[in-house]
Formats: sequence, structure tokens, C-alpha cells
Amino acid sequence: MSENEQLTSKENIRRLVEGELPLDVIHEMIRMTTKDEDRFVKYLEVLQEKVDWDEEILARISDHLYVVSKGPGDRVVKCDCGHELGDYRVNWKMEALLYCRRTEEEIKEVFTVHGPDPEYVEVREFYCPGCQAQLAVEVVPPGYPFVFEVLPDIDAVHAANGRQLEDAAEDWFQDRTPERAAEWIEEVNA
Amino acid sequence: MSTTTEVNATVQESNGSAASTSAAPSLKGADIGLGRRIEEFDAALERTGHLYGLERLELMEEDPIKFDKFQWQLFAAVNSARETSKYVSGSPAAVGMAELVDMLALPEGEVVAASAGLAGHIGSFPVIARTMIERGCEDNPGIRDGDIWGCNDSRAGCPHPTDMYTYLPVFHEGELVCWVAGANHVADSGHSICAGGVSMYSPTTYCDGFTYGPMKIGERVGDVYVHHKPFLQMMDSRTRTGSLNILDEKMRLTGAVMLRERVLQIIDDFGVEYFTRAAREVLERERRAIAGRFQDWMMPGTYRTMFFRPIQYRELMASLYPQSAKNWITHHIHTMTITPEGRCNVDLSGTSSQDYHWQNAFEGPFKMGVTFSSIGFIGRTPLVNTSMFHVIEHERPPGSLVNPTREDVSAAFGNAVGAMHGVLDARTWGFSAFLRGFLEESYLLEHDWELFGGEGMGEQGNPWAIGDFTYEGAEPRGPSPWRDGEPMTLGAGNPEADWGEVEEWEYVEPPLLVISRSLIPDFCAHGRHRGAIGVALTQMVCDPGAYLTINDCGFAGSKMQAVSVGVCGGYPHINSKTMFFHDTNAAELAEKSAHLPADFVEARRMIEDGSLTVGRISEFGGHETPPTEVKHGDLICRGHHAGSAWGDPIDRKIDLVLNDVQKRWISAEIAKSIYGVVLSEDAEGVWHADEDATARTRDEIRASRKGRAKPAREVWEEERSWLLEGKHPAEEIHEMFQDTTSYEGWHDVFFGFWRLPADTEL
Repeated sequence: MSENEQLTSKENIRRLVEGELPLDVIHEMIRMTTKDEDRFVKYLEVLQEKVDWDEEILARISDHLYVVSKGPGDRVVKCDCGHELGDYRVNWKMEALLYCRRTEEEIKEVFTVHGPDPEYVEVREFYCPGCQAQLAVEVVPPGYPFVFEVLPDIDAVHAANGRQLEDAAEDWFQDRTPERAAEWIEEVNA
Repeated sequence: MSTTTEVNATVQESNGSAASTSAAPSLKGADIGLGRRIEEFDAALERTGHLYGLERLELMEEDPIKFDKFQWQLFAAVNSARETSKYVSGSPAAVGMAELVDMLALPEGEVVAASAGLAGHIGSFPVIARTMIERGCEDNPGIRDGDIWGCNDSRAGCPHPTDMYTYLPVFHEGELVCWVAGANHVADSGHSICAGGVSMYSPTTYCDGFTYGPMKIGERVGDVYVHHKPFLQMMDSRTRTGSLNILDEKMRLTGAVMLRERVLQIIDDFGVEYFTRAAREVLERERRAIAGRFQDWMMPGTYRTMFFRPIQYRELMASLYPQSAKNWITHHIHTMTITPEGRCNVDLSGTSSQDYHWQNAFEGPFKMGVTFSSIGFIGRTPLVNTSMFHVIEHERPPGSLVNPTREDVSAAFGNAVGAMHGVLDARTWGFSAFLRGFLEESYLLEHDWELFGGEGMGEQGNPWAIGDFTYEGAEPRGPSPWRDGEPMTLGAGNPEADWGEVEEWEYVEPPLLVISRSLIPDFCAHGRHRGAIGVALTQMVCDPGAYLTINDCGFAGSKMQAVSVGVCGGYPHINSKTMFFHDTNAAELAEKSAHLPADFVEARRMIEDGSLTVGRISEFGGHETPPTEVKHGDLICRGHHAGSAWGDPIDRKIDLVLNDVQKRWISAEIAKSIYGVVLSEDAEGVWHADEDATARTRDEIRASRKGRAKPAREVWEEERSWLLEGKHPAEEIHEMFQDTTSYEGWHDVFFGFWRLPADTEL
């Protein structure tokens, strides 16, 4: 195993993910002129070994959240606790728990020295309904759309790593959030 | 003060200096075909996808050692020019903190090499070159060997009027082979309202101050470069810091002349054909490297971030500038798509429209601003260059703040808006690298910056002014998935992070005595990896003379977060703060060698316990401080914030929280309430964690979250109904929604998310 292969071994990637890799080793990784080509594959393997469920991780989209395959044509967002938050093309925040801090007192609890003005914004905290992990925080005016932070091009990243996903299709890389909102309207009207 | 510059130029006179010999009256100089070259450059890129159409890097491949020698000579040339010329100046920003840059650009304006220093300026130079074509500079006054050109106009490509450029065309045997340029941020550029060039109170372009160019500001006579005297006289009379500015002008010219001389030597050594081809290969190689980083290190996909900025002009401008007598909340939306092919496209549709305030960012200022972040994160080369602009493309809607079309809106500080978008670029790349598994490359380059200016009149009736950079050179770095943010780590615009010497600044700001540079406990965004701890700069005003006003500007706005979205459950980048404590007893405390407050938190505490007395307080949420008069004994406290946090705070390792408390960066109360870590201090002052109590507290936090939260759908229904009813939290928000949804892309996102009927009037 070459020096670079040792540096970017799966064990080192695991320790990097866990926050256990010493700084000097990380600095050596930063100094590498050519990165390990199989990093994404190793990364997914490390992440897969961390969770208790069996669905294949196709991508990571946050500290706690993954896009997993539940079978051909079915890709959903899943928390590491096992809770699922729907089709990954829909902003997962639609299926989360949400707490809005709207008063100065509520905001001061988390912005402890100096915070935003509740006259203009609210602090939105999105939690996992399964484990209550805080998954995202937005500070935006009320009435602002939930921020769809990332829609990964999953077919493309796997293709770049030499793998054609079985259910690859053009319509995966599409924001389907408006369709989900339309379903809510229909449900209300019904 | 002498107003004539004489810089020895030891190079041989070259052949391109002949004036036009045409019989018809004409100022046309050398026929350099600048417009044609730029058209060919664009066409070759469009046709082949390669800069200059270079599908092969022949020189680099055929003789890599020679190529390496060549590129390091370019590196040495630009840095040598900077390191030497800075001593010509007298301004502390230039001499002490080296806030200047020397650049080498090909005729098309593409920068091949820039020195350390304000390397973000590379983003501006191609725009300046193109502006020279648009404005017909080749025909009038003509571009000749021996010319000295200058520019600081934002509409022409410069970042803001306080960033001045001095540049020379370099000819070889009658042909334009490159440009050499020096640029720096001067102490003041004569803005009508804000001294020090920190112009966040700027209603129209007619307040922008002393702006010029691109124009000829001098020429070579024999082997001596001479500034045009009227230009220096104007600089002297139309800015508040004429003496310093003229020294800076001489500094920039010195760097440019040194660089020209060295470039001609390199051409002699390597041959002109090699010089041109190899410089082009440098750019194409760098373009490929940057595209490769996007392709290999980042998750292809679409990312969205944004920030909002309040502008509060309503009362201040009411009597003088009725067109500006209102408040705004501006929206800066940033939708980035990284393609599998290694392109990075950023759609800014939905950004607020241009208006009568400071945030109008023309092309040059915008590109200069975003470059600050790009060069550190994705550029990564000793030869800082403009190839990144052929991989990263910002789509700037005409009429918006990032592509103004009106002539009368202020162009005094648009580079600050560009810098904010650069922050969004870089943090998105950092997040994207995390998703792809390259955690070591993942961090939030949410650098903060802040400048302040001031003007006054000393006791002897001597007017003076200053633009202060101390914070600008000591910015925080945000966290990564494996470590916390760090304060005072970098100068994104200047790779040599440096506060500058207190004594040096005090020498040019005699009434401003620095009493503290320190960290402010609990002043950070909380998360699994927290933002950097905030930094204080506290000054006491001493004998200001007849009058003294201070105004600030900075990255972090008031009232809204500096960036609107945290990362993976961490809290977003918090606001900065500036507080003026007027009519205090601080001077008496100093005379008695009594304790003075280190920061605004301690000042408030001392006011409560009575040890500090205060007549009144001027408090600003961010650094957007209008000129504010200060008197002897007043305290000025600034708090510099420090990047978004990464991850859920209750996922933070107990040892990290313990370390924060032990170092008094985080209080034990916050450790428990936000991080869920229960600590106790022993008799020796050593803190210890209670792991069982911590586990229980974290369970309680989870239970509390579950108890207070609602399904997001309920909030969606509630806020949708507010929109349909026209219920908005503030008029500025209402107007911002109306304005930004007039841009098609953002209209679709906004109306699509809320499923609003098409005829909804926001």
C-alpha cells in the first residue's frame, strides 16, 4: 500500500468522519496533490457501516440524513435513526418537525449575545420526528419558502465513480417540492 | 507635498510609443487591436471550451522544467514588485499590512499572475480592459507605450472608489504583450458622506466621491515615468487623505514599473512567443485544475443559500435625499448548480432590484468581491489568475443589485455585495465537498470583514481622515465537519492575516486609543462544531480636537443573520455589533488605572454595576454605522462575529464543550442550556463534566424539542395563509417579496412552494 493509499485508507476515512483523525494527518490529506479516486465509494461504505438499517445509502445530504434506495425507482431521505422523510426530490423539511422562534426571548435562548430582530425574521429549527435531532436552522422572514438546501445529482455522482445505478433516469434530478405542496392543497380542499 | 512623481525606469525605450501619424486630427495611439483580441479570446473559448483554444499544453508537456522556471519567474516578479513598492507608501494599510497587489495580465485583461495581498483584484482587471474597448480608449486618447493609466470607477470595473489602480501597457517591438498593474485600498476617496471609503450610506452615484478612469494619468518621458500634475492635484484636493493617497499612487506606479521591467527581462530570456504562449498555458492549466476540483471533489447537484441585508435610510436621508428616504430589506439568493462536467453555475435570479442605496454591485465590483473567497477555496495556486471565471459563472439578472443598469444609483461599495456572494459560493463548495466525502477539504469560508472610517479636525485646525483595516486583516474562518471555527485566522482579501500593529494605527489615528483586542465569551454560532468565538475591538476617544466622526461598514448586517442558513443543524452566522458609549467616565478610569471594559458585553455589565457611567448609547446591530460624532472619553466597542456552526449542538463532544468552558470562551450556563453538557468547577478552578447528567440533560432537550415543535406542514399552512391575507411582519419584507418575485426564476420557486394562485398580490 502506497503512502497516499495508507493516508486515505478506509479506516482513516472512518476516523475522519468520526472526528477522530489527528490534525496532522488531516493536513497531510489536504496537501495531497491527487486525491484518492475511490473516496466516494469508501465514504459510502463507512457511512453504511454506521447505521443500523439495511437500505443502501446513495448519498449523504446532512450530518444525520441520507438518500437511500428502497428498491428500483424508490429513493427516499432517511435519518440515521431510521425515520424516513419521503422522496428525496421533495425538500425533506416538509416532513420534519418545525419550531419557529418568533419572540426576542425565544431567540435569545440560542443567539446568546446578539441575535436577529423578530420584527423581520423568525428562527426555524427543523427536527427529525424520530430522534429529535436538529437537522437544519433557517433565519428568514415569515412567509419565506423553506430553503431546499441541496438536491444531489445522484445518478451523475455514481456514474463518475464508474457505476450506473439500476434505476438511473433523467427525472431524478428534479425539484418535486411544488408537487408535494400541491398534494397538500388538494388534501385540504378535499 | 510634491505632486510630481519621478520613477526611474531603467528599461530600454521600446518601439510602440510613436504617436499617430495620420493626417486627420486623431489621438489614436498604437494599433493594438484590443477589441479584436478580446473577440478572438471569447470565440476560441466558445468554440473549443479551452482558454485561447489550447487543447494541448505543448510548452508545459514538452519541456516542463523550462516551463516551471518561467512560471516561478512570473511569481517572483509580481511578489517582488509588491514587497518593494509598499515601502514607497506612508499609509499603514499599505506599509504595515501590505494591502496592495501587483498583477500581470495578458492584453485581453486575463490576469496570469498576481502577488500576495489584495489578490481579489484579479476579478476586476478583465472588466477594466473590456471597458477600455467599450469607451473607445484605443482611439482617444490612444494607448501607447509609456502610458500610465489609472482607474477607480466601479462602473468601469474597479471594486469601489477607494480601490485605485495604476497600470501600464507593456509593448515589445511595437506589440502590446501584456499589462502590469498595481492596486491598493487607499485611506479615503472623497465620498460625500462616509469618510474612509466605507460607504454604506450612499444614496446616489453623485455621492460616490473622487472617481476617475480608465484614463491616462501620466507618461514616460525619457526613462522617467511622470504623473500628470493636474491628476495628482485633483487627488489631493478631492479626497480627505491626499498626502497618503499620492504616496499610494507613487507606490502603485513603482510596483507597475518594476514589474514591467522584470517582464521585459523575462521576455528577453524566453522570447516573446514563448512568453505569450506559456502565459496562456498557465491560464488553461489552471482552468482545467479548477474544473477538475469541481468534478472530482464535489457532489454534483443544486444548492440554495441566501442572505438578507437591512438598509435603514428612512430617517437619515429624509431631508436631503428623498429618493432614499426609506428602509429596505434586500434579498440575495444564490442557487448554485455543480455539473458532472465540472462547471459551477450560480443563478442569482430573485436578488433585489437596484435602488438608491449602497448595495449596487456592477460587474467589476461583483467579480472582485467573489474572488476573495474563490482564490482561497478553489483557486489554490501560487499564480493567482482569472481562469476561475471560465469555470464559475454567476448569472446576474439585469436591473438587480448584482447587475445594475441605471446610471444614477450609487456604485460606492458594490464589491462588498460581491464579497458576500463569494461567501455563499465558498460555503456551498465546502458543504459539497463534505457530501462527496472529502471532509478534509470541507470548511465554511464565511470570513467576516469590517472596516471603519473617520474624519475630524484636530486642535490646531488640521483636518484628517482615515480608513482603518485592523479587522479586515484578521477575519475568522468558519468550522468544518471536524473542527471548530477559528477567530483571527485569515484575511480573505489578503492571505497574510494580520491585525497590523496597534501602535502603527494609533500613529495615524491619534484620538483612537485601543484598549482591547479580545475574545467575547458566548459570542458565536452554536453547533456540533461551533463558529469562531467573536472578537472585540474596543477604543477610547482621546482629545479628538474640534470634531470627530466615525462610520463603519462590514459583512454582517444588523437585524438579520449574516447568512440565513446554518449547516446540518448548526445555527447560522450571527450578526456583528458596534456600540458607541457616549459621555462616559472612561477617561477618569484610565487616569486612575482602573479597569476598562474589554468589549460591549463587559461594558453593559459595568454600566449595570455602576463602575462605568454613560450619558447615552448608540447601538448598531451590524457594522452599518452612519457617521457618528464622538467626544473625549467615549468608548467604541465592536464585536466581530464568526461564521455559521456545523451540526446539532447536542451532538458536540463533551470534551470540546469542557475545553471551551475551561478557556472561558463559553459559559457553563450556555454549555448546559444549548449543548446539554453539565459541568462543575472545583476549588482549583478546573472544570469537570458529569456524563450521566449530560446524557439526562440532552434527553430533556430532545423531549423539549418534541414538545414545542409542530409538523412542518402546519407552519406551511399558517404562513401560506398570512401571504394570502397580505399579512407581513414588516413593510420592508412585503416590498422585498413583491420586488424579488418579479424575477421569473424566483417567482416560480416562491409561488411553487406556497402554491399561490397566479393572481396573488403579495
